[in-house]
Amino acid sequence: MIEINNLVKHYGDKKAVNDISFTVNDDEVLGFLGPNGAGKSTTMNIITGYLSSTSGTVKVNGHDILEEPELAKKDIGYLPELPPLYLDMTVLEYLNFICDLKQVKRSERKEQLAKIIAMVKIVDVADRLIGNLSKGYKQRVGIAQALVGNPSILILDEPTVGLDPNQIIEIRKLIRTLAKDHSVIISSHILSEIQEVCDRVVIINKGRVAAIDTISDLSRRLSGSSKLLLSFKGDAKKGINAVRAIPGVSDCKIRISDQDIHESEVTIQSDLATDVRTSIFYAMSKNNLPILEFRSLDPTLEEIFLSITGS
Amino acid sequence: MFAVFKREFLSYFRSPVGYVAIALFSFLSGYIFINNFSSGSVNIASEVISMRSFFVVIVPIITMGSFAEDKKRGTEILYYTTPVDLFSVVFGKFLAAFALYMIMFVNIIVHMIVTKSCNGIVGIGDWGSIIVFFFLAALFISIGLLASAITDSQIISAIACFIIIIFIQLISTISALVGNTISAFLAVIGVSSESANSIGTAIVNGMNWLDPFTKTADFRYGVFSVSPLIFCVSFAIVFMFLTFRILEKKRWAKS
Amino acid sequence: MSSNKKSANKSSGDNRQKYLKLYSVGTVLILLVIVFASNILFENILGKHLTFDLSLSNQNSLTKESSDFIASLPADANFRIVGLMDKPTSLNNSPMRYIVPLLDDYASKSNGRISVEYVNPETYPSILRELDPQNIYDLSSDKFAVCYQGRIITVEPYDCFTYDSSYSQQGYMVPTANAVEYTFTNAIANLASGITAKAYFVTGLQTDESVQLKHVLSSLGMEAEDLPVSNGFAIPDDCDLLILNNPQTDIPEPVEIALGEYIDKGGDFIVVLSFYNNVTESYSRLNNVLNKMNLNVDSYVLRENDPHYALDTTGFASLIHSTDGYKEFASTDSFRASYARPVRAYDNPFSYITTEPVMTTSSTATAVIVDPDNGISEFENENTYNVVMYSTYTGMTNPPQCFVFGTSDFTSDSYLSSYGYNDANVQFIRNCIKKVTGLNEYNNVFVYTKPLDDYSIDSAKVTSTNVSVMTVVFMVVIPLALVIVAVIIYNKRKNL
Repeated sequence: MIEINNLVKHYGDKKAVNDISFTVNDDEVLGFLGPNGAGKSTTMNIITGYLSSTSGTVKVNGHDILEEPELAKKDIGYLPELPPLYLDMTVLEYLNFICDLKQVKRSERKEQLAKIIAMVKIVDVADRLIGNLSKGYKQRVGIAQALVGNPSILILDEPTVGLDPNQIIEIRKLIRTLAKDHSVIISSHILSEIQEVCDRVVIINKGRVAAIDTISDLSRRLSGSSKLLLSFKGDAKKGINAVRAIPGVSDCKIRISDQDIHESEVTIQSDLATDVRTSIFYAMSKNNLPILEFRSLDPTLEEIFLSITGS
Repeated sequence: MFAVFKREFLSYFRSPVGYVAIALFSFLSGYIFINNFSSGSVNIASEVISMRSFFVVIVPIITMGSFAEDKKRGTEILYYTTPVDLFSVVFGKFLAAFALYMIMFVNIIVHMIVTKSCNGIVGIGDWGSIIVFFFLAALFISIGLLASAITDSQIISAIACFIIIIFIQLISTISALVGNTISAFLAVIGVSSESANSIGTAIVNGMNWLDPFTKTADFRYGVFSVSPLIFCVSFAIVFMFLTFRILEKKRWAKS
Repeated sequence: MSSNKKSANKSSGDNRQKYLKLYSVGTVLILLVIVFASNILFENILGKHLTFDLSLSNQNSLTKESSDFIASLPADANFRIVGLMDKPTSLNNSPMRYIVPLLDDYASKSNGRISVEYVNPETYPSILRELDPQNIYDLSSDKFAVCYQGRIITVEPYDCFTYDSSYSQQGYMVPTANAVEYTFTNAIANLASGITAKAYFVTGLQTDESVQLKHVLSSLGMEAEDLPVSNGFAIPDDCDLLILNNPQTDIPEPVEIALGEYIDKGGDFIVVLSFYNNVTESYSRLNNVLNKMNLNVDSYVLRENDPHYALDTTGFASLIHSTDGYKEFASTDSFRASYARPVRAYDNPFSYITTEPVMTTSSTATAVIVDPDNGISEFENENTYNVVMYSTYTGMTNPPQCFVFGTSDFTSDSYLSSYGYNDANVQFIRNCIKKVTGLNEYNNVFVYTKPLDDYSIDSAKVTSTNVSVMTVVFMVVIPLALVIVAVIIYNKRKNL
């Protein structure tokens, strides 16, 4: 369990982290979401003891990271944004070094390493030089490093960044396996990634917590303003008027209107309570405006912030 | 500490650095030894003292990567986020470099055996200069570590280390220069020549006090003294402590 | 969260940063203070008690030779050693640390025969007049004066050591041997014996500097003076020994004539030649003089072909051996010589001239002609050559005597300062000087210089084979093996 209270970090006059508080429960996967530069990495670096906060406290399983750093760090496995790999060592040499650093007992070492290597699927590359591995394998070695010493808490900073889609799927699978018996914090700026693996989400923006919620609550709040994209053949104005007439539609705006081929694209904003999609279909058909494309728009992270912060 | 020592020490032998440093040392010491040998008089102390002048090359080669490389590759984060004490990280790296020096020194032990087998003398003065060799090595390695901790570029760290060691080797020359310049300057701005001279002398003496070479010069004659050794060790500790503080600064510094 | 609480947080946050900074800088400062304080404490208060003289030869106490000699002096003798300086207090890093304590030892072991005092002539100028009323000795500040019955021998602290001429550290010479006791005991012995002898060095022929050789003479109680070559060249009557120390050019006619007359008067001399820079010089005039002693020096360089004798791969540096009559002259019978000219008996029929070989090569040496244009060519078949010879006239009182050296390794500054006064070559030249000047009967104290380092190794093992084997092993095999291992490991790991 991690308790974070009123965390502040100044870089000169700039506040990278401004009064963040949240708690991570045991065996929970917490998504840490925010755009680039929102303060995710800084917060994680403070939690793991790499940086000290300007003020505020971090308690890991009851141990303050500043006052009892050794006890607190024992419970944390950390994969920073840039995995801390020695490129001139083989995977096994490297993991053995991490065992030395984390003071894993000699008797347990062999068994533990075998387990970790199997779990993150790096058995075939165990004797290869880290510098010669692909990015996906390097990331896995990074995760293996975090797992050494059986920490109860895993902190993974952007674990899928820069990987190809197949590798991303594999890493996500791995994280889901790990989540069974670890508390996990994952940072990301991709919503879908967080949605897939996390129980709860902390969203931060400009160094502040924008929202803390479970995924289901968050989706419900997000669906408060559902957005649709509609493209059709015909006059844009006519279409907009037809859509606006439908009860429940709060707004309708032109995105693209091409007079030559006579095609238009509009975005529609509707109330939550009513599903306006059937009505729109009939209204368009009545007005003789053939629908070319009709789909709901996934909210972007920006929009989530906008909607959450209400501005 | 042992973890860091083991990794750093083995890493010298995973890359060519360690071998090249030892090869360089073997070649240079071999050259000096054979020169002495063919002239019919082998002075191990003289050889050891000559090898000291190569600190200026060998120490930067050994220490330049110690922290600079960690910073550049991002591996330093391991030392902050695992339950090791930062000072023991510094000390582990120090021991690794020092151990490499001890391995290099095997060359000179071989030379000593050859000398002994040719009825040459390996006397107390030789042992004295060997003791001094290791204490100075400790001092310079700690300086190299500090140079490595202030930057993330190996080249800059090597150059900084090189300059500091050169400065220490030339300290007696430099101090005389500085002392003369200052007393001349004081005389020009109207201080009486007597007090200008005494200020100059004080500066020269003050700077010379920092010279580990003159402090340890007597060892080669077999005159052993504890205080120069304390000087080397205590300043090695100071430099390691500074290195430790510089690493730790990263935690709280504003940028 | 109220705004009050926020601002409180902010200030406490800044405090934490300030505190950390203060702590960090503070601990560094405290450590520095502790380090400086403890170093100064150790150096100034405990330093002297924690300094141990473990040197083998006990630099600061008299050896048995000196003690016995002092004990043999008459009980009422009164030797006065005056240091023309304030008594040095800080002895660290100065040659005085070997001189002051040893002189104290002289004073305490002599039962009042020797007194030691320090008087600075800048503070008490009258001391110079008191010691040397006629102003005939070269007394000045920072020297030591050893005085006995009106005679004075001056000793400079710098001259009490031999120095490594090939290795100097930051401009000052590194001493190799401590000759303090050697210098002072010899000075006392020479004053006690009461005899004086004077050696003249012929200069002006690009001869060697002879600084070290003059020290050797002075330790034998001989004064030395230079005798420059000129048109009116004449050898003074008080000359007991004339030395021609490795002239690079032949002697001019006036010197040839003067030397001939000197021999007729029964004068003693030592001639040193070598074959290093002056390869085209044949010394015809000098040989004319030497022929009077039935000796001749040839214009070849000796090359040693026996690997047990050769000291380097060229064979131009080699070991030479003393002949039977001269085994007593040094503790060993093998000596180093380099770039030697052969010395031979000339075909002079006078039966009153006796020549003796003193030092010889192995039986497989060759004489080599060096032509600056065409390189080297062998001169004669393998044979035993003489490097040093002695000659005298028999059947007369006060006969002329001479030693002729074909190598400068017994007299040159560079050799003497590199190997120190204990070296076999130096022992040998000392005895040669004693033999020709007749000092033998008077001066029998031989005090060894103390090896600050005496690093000579068994010269029999310094063979060219050994040197080349070691060159290959130490400078080629070991470094190359390491580099190869580095390349192998690097390549192997690169492809892991």
